Amino acid sequence: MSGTRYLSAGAHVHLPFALRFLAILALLGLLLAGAMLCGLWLGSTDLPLSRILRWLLPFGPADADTAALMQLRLPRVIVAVLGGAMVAASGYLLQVISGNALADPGLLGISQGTVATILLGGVVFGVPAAWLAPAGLGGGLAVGALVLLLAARLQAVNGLILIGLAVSISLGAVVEIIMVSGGIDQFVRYMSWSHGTLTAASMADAARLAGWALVLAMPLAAAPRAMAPLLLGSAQAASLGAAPHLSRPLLTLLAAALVAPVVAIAGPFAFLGLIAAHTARRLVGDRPGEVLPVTMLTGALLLLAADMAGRTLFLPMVVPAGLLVSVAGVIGFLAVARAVPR
Amino acid sequence: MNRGVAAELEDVTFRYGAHAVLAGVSLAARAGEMLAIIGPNGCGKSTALRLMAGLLRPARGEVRVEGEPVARLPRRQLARRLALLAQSGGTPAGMSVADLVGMGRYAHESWLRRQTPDDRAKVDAAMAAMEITRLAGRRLGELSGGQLQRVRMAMVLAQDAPILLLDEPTNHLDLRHQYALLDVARAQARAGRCVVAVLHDLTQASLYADRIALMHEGRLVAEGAPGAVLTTAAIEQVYGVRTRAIDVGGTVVHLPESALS
Repeated sequence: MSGTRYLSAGAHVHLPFALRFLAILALLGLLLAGAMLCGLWLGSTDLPLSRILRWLLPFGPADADTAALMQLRLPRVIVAVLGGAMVAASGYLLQVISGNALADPGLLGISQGTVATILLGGVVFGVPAAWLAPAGLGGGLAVGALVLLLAARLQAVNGLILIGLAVSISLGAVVEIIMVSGGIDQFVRYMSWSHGTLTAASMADAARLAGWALVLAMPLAAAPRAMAPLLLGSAQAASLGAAPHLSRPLLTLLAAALVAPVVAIAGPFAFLGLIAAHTARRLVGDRPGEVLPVTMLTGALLLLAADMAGRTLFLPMVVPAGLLVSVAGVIGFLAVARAVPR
Repeated sequence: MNRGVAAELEDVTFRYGAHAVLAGVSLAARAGEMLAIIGPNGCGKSTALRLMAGLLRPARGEVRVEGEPVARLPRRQLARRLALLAQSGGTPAGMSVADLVGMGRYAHESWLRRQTPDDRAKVDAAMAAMEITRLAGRRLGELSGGQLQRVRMAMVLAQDAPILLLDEPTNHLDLRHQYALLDVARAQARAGRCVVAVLHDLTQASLYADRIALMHEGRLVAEGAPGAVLTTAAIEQVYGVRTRAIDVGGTVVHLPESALS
């Protein structure tokens, strides 16, 4: 890949900001395309790559075996890519909104709030599956808002993380109570979901997530302009002509809306947002218009890689992607931090 | 409205909870003048500036910018009339100097209309005025505190607003750049802008301000020409420091008696 040279030779080549962004975007895009192909290819059933490529061609003759297998693997890849991108975007949004580089949907209680609401709705109140994501959104948003409000009263940067953790742990207890209150089947089913897993991702899930992504694409495209002044603090942002008292709650809503459907379908992925955003900022700097797309590509790549590793490396055991995200994220973060010059 | 009044507080009271930070303060800043607000720590001078900027809402009284109540102006419109150099703020380490100065044009751009040649010309002029043109490609994380403060001031200048509010603008600057920044601020006033600066250094205030507003415990104690406001008696009353006034080429400076004895 020609793009790799930019990274390895970076110590000697100083690329202008815009060029650097485009180079990194292209490189990540290529990596993601390659990873998606691997995601379709790798699995417990061996399949020649040529048959997958033929299946991918729009009008090519597809054999029934490949098509059947792709019905299983394709939604998983789609959910990993969209879900990873959405959770990562949410993490970056929250970092800018809170002015805290440690913010993450998992750390602000948004993920746990969504999980608890979905479990309460699904298990206790019998809410139909299609309504779980909107219900989870409400719960996640309420918890996120509560955490942000409490932290604002404390007026301490680390207060945000402490309160987020405290609320997350309390909600975690609620989640465990609900899980152990049902039968063993229910416990097993929710156990892997509550760690974040793509095992059960179906075509319907992929379609539902794509629908959410489509709806959120417009506000997400508009977000960077609102985010840039927030980086300078409320007072400076307001005097530059921004409206932080409006943009903060709206961007928080967007951040929660990005996470809720992913949690509803695949469970929470802690640290994904944190790591993807940090990696992206290491790569391209601090222009929100550049960090956001790079964050999303990084998040997609991380979740896809974690899922692939989880279902191939430890066979016959399948490790939930959510558990591997932390591991993969940390390794990726270290690799990037070493490879890229400041 | 007085002719030429650019920004004014009229009988403004502001409270944090039950504590009145500002009590019945009336203060007007005119176009073409540099007004310095001085006073001891916690006297309410930064609060007065933040009220003028429309960042705080008074409990009583009214704040007007160019004759219009600030509460009725949307932020975007206000930002075209008034620019604030906040005392502190976030400094995204990975942002370039040119990008930060370019943020000064935020209120002039929109979702569809990005920077025009005119915007870029204003950004370039602001960087030249603050002597940071050669830093344009650097990232904020690589700058010293003084360089960063000059970059932030350039951002405020790029906003090209008729009113400039500067909250302790000489913070973090070495001697040369303190005076360079004050020279720029005064030049802005001479060019017809209204400049209001919260300052700590009485000598700088005497040298640069056309008028001084002296504040103490949330009230305006005195207002007028530097020589009239900064008397030995007023300084002792407000700061609790006995000084000796020394005339240096027409400007009176105050030196603390304790240091002279």
